[in-house]
Amino acid sequence: MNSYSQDIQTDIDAFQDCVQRLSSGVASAGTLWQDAQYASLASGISALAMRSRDVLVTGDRVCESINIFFSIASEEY
Amino acid sequence: MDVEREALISVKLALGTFQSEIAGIANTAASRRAGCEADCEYQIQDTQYKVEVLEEEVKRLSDRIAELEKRIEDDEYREHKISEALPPLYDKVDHMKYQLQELSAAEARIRNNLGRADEDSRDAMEDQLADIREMESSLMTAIHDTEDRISDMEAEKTRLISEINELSYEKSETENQLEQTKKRLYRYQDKLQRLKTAGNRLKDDFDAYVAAVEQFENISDASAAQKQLVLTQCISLVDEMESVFGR
Repeated sequence: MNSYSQDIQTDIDAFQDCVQRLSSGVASAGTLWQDAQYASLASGISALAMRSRDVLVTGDRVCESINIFFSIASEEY
Repeated sequence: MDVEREALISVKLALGTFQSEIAGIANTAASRRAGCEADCEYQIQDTQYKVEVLEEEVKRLSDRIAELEKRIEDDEYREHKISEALPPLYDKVDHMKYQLQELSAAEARIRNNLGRADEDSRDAMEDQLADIREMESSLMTAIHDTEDRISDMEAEKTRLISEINELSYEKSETENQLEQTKKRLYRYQDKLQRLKTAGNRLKDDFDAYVAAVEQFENISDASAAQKQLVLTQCISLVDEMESVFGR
């Protein structure tokens, strides 16, 4: 794996952790806070988590493209 | 109400942490992209340079082969001309040597008859002998000159044959080098094409990634800030109610 794709993979993993921690934090509050406002908040966070999928998918694609590019670049004849 | 307030605060904290962690991810993505794309550009330029160097090498080797072919052709022509010219010269030497033998025989015959000749005949025979000696001398000079010329031509022929062999060997080696260089050139040309294609794909993928990250950062920042504001208001409201009802 190329260092550029490793860096981006690290960014993506940290990003995923960050979104998951937010989702977990809000979910854990749900045991203490159950009303319409919480439901609205939880729904908003869930939508945000869904949007994070775009970052993960495009990030994976970039890593794959970087690896392909630098694999070709390393060819010597 | 205490329980709900605790929940509000924990969610507010989670949102605050999230907001600070997300802040700057778009800049990070753009920075990663800049570093990677600069290296990609270098890789493409480096491969382009190798292709150009190999193209020049192919041209240099092709020109050298053409030059060697021309020199071999010239040498072969000269060697052929010398080979054609030599047999008549050998024949000429043989003929002159034969003439020399004939003159020697004539000289011997005259000398043999010289003792028995009268005074008048003797003078004439002496004159003949002088003519024969002069002819012998001329013939020997001509034989010597022709043999020298033959020797020079044989040496030149040997040198040309040797040079033709050396040039042919160099041509063969250069042709092998050209074949290998062409193979490398075709591989690097193919690599360059594939790098450009992969580079274009990578650019498109970076466009999509950076756009997704920017969009997420903008949305999440505004969303988290708005939610935190609501939560702050809720917490203040809870605090106010607690002070009113004395809980």
